[in-house]
Amino acid sequence: MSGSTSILESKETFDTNVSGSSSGSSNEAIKLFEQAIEKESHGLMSEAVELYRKAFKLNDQVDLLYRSHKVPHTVKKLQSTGGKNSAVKVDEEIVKQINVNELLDSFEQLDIAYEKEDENGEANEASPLLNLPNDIWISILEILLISHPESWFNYSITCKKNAFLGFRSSILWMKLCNLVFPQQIYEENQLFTEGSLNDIEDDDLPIPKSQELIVPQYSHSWKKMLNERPFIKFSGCYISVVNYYSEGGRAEFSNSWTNPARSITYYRYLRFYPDGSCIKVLTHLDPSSVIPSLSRRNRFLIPVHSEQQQQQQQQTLQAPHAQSNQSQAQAAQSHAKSSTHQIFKGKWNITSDEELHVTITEGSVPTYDFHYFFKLKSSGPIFRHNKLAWIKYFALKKEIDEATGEREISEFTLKNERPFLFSKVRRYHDEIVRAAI
Amino acid sequence: MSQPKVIIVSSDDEKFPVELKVAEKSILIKNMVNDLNPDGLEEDFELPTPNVKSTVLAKVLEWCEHHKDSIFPDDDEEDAKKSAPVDEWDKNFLQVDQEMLYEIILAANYLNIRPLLDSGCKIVAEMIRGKSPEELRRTFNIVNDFSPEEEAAIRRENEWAEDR
Repeated sequence: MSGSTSILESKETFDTNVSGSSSGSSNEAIKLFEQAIEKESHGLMSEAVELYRKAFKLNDQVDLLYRSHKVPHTVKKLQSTGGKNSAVKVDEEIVKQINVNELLDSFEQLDIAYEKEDENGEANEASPLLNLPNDIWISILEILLISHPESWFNYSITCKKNAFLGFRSSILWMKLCNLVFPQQIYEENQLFTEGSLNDIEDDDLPIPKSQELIVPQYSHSWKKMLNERPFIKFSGCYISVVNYYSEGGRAEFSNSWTNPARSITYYRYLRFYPDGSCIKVLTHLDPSSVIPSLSRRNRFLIPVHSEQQQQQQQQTLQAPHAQSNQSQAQAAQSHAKSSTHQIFKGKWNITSDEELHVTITEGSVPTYDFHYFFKLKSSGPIFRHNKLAWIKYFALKKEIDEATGEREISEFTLKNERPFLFSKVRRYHDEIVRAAI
Repeated sequence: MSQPKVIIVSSDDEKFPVELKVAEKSILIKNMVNDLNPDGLEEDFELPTPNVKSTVLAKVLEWCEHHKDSIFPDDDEEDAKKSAPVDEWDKNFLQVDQEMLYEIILAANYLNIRPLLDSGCKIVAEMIRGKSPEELRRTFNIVNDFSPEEEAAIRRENEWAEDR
């Protein structure tokens, strides 16, 4: 499969084989244990519990076994990509006391440290490229920011001097701001342009395109602006996992003390495009099977695990009248199923007071527009602008009621809804970079 | 009589006679020739480049020769230019060891040959692209000199910015 995503990749750590010392049944137990963790991470509790039970039945120490086998392996793997400080327990008190900007400034005059001898004791030189002047390195990092932002980060975190260059150069933060904010669709600007007959210069808009006009509001700090001013991200999608219990009634003459409960899990997906369009999906399918086909080019999701099945469906759907009664029924059934995989299209904008408004114009009921209002939030200092918190959700009839002169409005409850969180998808980023060339 | 040439002299005193058109790929040389010959070039003109040694100058002039008729886009399309892939010929031309790549980038910077400097930077960016921090340390022979706490603090304050 070509569409690798951060979500898919995160699973890889669980795929590696257990070393040979454990017996077949322990292997089996560990496998079940891992599947249980996986289900649990998706919020599929009852399935997770089922798998945990099976795993412990096979080996009552499966949790310890899992830790002794998997954790050292995972640590090793992390360190082989992240370096010596990965998977090391840090002293949180010390971390909290560090003033990062002051720390980075103290690295300015340092030389890049290099290994003077290789593994065989031969003399070793640092790469001559490291001696390129700072301004050239900054333009190399700028190229990476545009095409491959995580490589900008990965290079800058290699050592102290590079961290100074990569994280303390305001040119780079300015570049990031210019990559992010001019792509946002602001409601204030839309209203302003709609109301005007003349062409409006970009800088005369209520929220000007030129970021130099805005940065003074953030104490002239580009990094502060990126950190504090919310924006919609395009190189991934926003996912809301809804998980709730629905209590059923007891059967007649049942002796049970409790009512049967059913755990229900479904997902909402939102993906935004810089031209103001967006798509929305509501499905029981988990991210790994949705992300590859979550695109405005598709009308339906193509679940990853049943691609073949889906193709068959498509074929039967194309010529249903030529089929027997039985397969017509099948076709109708599969159509009903695929309508839950439908990708609905709409538009989005944000306001300067940090609200997102999504309007699904081609929704599940064609006579209604669906309106979603969210607050743009961060789920903490480490994850910025990655959260959409619900404000309200309602449907508005497209047609005006002749009697009242108003549109019929139906507001939906947000009782079960959960906030959306952003997930990065490498392939979406590449699509955007390609479209920009 | 043939056209007068620009004779570029390397730091180790080797002379490279080239057509004016080739030499003018370097904005530094172009400006110097124009400033010192306000009525146009009438005879061969010698110009020292004390920062560039002959092996590197030969390479840089090979690039100028190849691109003497190329037209490069203006600077106003900065982002598109930066995200565009490296020109195929340049990519092969820059298949050199890190030392030579370093020298070429420095010379392009000094001689002010923007398109060559851009290609050089993109080649370095490509060496970085897709690698983990530890792979990058191996590629460039960098030692991780952070304490675990320093690295954690810097990560937390900056890593979010790679998502957009």
